[in-house]
Amino acid sequence: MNRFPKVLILSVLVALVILPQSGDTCGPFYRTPTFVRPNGPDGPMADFARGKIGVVLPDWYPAYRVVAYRYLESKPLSAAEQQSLQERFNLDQRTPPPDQTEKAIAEWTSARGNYNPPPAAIGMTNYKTSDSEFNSYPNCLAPAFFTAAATLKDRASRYGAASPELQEWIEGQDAVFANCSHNANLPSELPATANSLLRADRAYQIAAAHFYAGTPADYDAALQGFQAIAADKSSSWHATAAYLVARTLIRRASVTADPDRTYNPALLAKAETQLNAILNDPELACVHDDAESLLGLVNYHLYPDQREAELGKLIAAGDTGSHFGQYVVDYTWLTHHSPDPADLSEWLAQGGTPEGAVAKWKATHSVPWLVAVLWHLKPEDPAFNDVMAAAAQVPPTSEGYPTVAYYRARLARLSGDEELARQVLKAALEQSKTLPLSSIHLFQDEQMRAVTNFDSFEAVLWQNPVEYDDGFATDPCKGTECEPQFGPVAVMLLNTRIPVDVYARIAQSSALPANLRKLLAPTAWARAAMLEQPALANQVAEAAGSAQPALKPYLQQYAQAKTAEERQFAAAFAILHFPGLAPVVLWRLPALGELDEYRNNWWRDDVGSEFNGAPDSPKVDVGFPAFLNADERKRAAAERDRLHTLGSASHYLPRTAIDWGKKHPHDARVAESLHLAIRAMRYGDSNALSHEAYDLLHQNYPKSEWAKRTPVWFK
Amino acid sequence: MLRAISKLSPSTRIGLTVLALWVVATGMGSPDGRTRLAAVAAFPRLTVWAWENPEDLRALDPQRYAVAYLDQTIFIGPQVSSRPRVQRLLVSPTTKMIAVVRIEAGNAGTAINAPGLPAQVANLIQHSVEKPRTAILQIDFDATRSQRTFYINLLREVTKSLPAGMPLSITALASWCAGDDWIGSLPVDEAVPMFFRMGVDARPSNLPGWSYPLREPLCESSAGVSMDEPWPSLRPDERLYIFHPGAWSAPAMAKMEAMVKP
Repeated sequence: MNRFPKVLILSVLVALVILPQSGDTCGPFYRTPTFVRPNGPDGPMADFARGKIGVVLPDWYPAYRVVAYRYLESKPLSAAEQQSLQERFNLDQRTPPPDQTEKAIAEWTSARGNYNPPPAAIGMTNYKTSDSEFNSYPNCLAPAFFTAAATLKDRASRYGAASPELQEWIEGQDAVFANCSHNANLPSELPATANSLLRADRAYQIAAAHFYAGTPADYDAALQGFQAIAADKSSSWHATAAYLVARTLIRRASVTADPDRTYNPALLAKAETQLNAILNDPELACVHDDAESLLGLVNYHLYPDQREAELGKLIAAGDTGSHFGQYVVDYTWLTHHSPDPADLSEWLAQGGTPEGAVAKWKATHSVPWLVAVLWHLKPEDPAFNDVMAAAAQVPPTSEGYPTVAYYRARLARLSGDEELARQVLKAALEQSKTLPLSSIHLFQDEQMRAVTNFDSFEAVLWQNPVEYDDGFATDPCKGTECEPQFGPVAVMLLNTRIPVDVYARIAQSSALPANLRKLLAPTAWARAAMLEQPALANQVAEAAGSAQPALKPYLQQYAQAKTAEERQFAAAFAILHFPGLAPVVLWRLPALGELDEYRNNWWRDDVGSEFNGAPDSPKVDVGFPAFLNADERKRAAAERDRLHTLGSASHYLPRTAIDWGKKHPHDARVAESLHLAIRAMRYGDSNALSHEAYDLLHQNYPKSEWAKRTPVWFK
Repeated sequence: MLRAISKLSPSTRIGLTVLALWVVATGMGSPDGRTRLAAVAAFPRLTVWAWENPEDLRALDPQRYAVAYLDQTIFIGPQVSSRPRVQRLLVSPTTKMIAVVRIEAGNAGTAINAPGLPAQVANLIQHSVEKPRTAILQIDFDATRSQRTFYINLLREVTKSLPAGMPLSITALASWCAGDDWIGSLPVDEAVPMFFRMGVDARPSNLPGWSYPLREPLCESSAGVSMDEPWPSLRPDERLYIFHPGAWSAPAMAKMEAMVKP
């Protein structure tokens, strides 16, 4: 029998099975916890808008610092300003606020659907392609649909749902909106005998349709139409039309701008004249608010420096009402080059230099400038004592108190006055119930360094994440992510400033949350073993075994080892089995026995001293915790240096396995340890010893299971 | 040919039929596949990305540069919406154009798994395909692990209505091309590894000429680089997509010219 088809079919089936499928494989989208939001306040935004500003940081995005400035100046946002802020900003500035257009279209569509004939659908979007073939522009905006929906309701009640007048109005309005995304017919003129309100509506509809049609001739016609309506005081649209004259000029200024400009300045200037005329006419008060917003847009483009200075003063003065959000948007987008900058502009620039900030503080003695100085102050700066004295005078009732207290405590520590640091922290944390979680963590990080006894240290060592970041977006913790964790400062202290006996004591403490004890106890064992402290390692082994039962056989082998050299091998042999085991706490390790394909296994050559090697991880300055005595500090430093000398897992573990294997070739564990060492290098950060381990494995144990399972070495 | 086939034994004919079906199913050797690959290869080696800025790229030599412009951004959240390009773009009449569709799904959550979503989004993408000058479609979506199934299904939907011969390109995180093999089976003609703003992928060096271990063949013919970050080591035949933060200016284009010279 010809076997070709069978073989082929089998091949195809095998290929179908092994060809890459939809690919639900691991990616490097690690979710990393955030303990202190670096660029903005904690949520919810409403709390921040209401004044829960907590500790204000210099790296916050400008919009958030603008809000903080108002509170530091004791000028709280009004309810309207708070609302306006929330409409324009979310917590990470990454997504625009909800667009009202969809809601407006839905409202119009719903209202229109109550009447015949059935409406044609609005286009895919509300955008219209411009003369340039590659871009579009938002054409019919939300207010147009809201206004049309309200007018429809009114006209239906006036004329009756089935009246010819309402049908006429609807036909006209359908024609207007047909121009939103396409070029369509215009509403027809009405005879002079028609109902006067309907004729006024139709005149407005015709002008609006021209506006949305968007050709040069249409803009001319729209302008003439709106000007005529504005002049007709009998038209209910005359005030709106006056405003739309300006809008037509601005729209035209946009579409006729030179390639290198956003607007045609000559047409913007005409719009400016029109808007000023509106604002000077009390009879047009109903459109003053909209005209003022539009004038802001015109000034933004015509006079950016003046607008920046103006906005800086307006925002700082308060009472900007519902304009606040847009003002902040415009203000933070403008390049700050004004020759006459507002105080707020200078504050956002933090005085230009630390010396500049000090000069501004000396001139104003205001809380915002005190904060700006504190952000960059060092104990050796000439102004240090004066600034610290001024900081001490800021009362707990001040909105600036958390920020001032945090930096004052930090500077007290850095200057060696740990007692003052403790006093400030104690007083500040009495307000902890009113503080955002990020601020509490900042104070807690200082406490870790300042507390004077072990129990207090242990009590402030863990934190609950504020949120998680996957590199694209942030969101709240889920499931076990919400459990207490070690933040960056705690990790740095544990990894680099705590002697191993204290480390082991923490790991065995019942005060530590269970999830952290489970994490820390095995690392304490590994740390003690690698630092050649067998008594301590054996003492913490019970806790390590309880936390991770899979470790127990290896802990036992270590305990039974007879020499220091054998203990070292037994420790390495144990660690080689568990990619999630290290002598330090790391930002991300796989579960104890699982291998991470992205090589985040065991530990790297910094041995935990660079906040865990996490991408973009904060660099934290840590000293020794105050509760450690001189001897403990000395031992901690020596142990840190010793771990550094031992190097990364990709070096330490294979080296130990190879050295032991050469001296003790009859040890039954050697072949396995060499296989595991090659794996540790492949999934670690270096393959430097891979060839050597491979040669030893295949020369001494060529027929072993471990040699068969290790067909290659890695470069 | 048909006569020759008829002389084969039935079992052999079945075998050949299965082989032919396999070739068709995997896209290997399809005339359209070859045409699309040829279309990519026929493009200028250099492509300038025109992102969310007003751009005047008329000074670029159409023989040497193509332009990949952000045509629309599709937002996937509780609702799906599209924002077309609103910034002006000026190019030479003969410049070859790549329409780029950016997908933002940071707020999608579980909505990303809605059964009809791939078809809905593909329908929006079709607007970019139908632009008169679109010669290549490029999709820019940093799909997270949980969004990959959606992305795969989306690309399948997009290819259904892609004109014959129009290549489909995607941008790819560098890690997708290195240790993470999930893109190998995607129905695309090109995956452009993004060698800038690498985030968790971590650029191995801050010096120009660094290298990144690519394994995925789809990623080997092109590279995405930025004018404000050091470029990796590049092959002379590699298609380059060049990004500039902010609008392209005359000095920026002059600097690019200097950087792309062999």
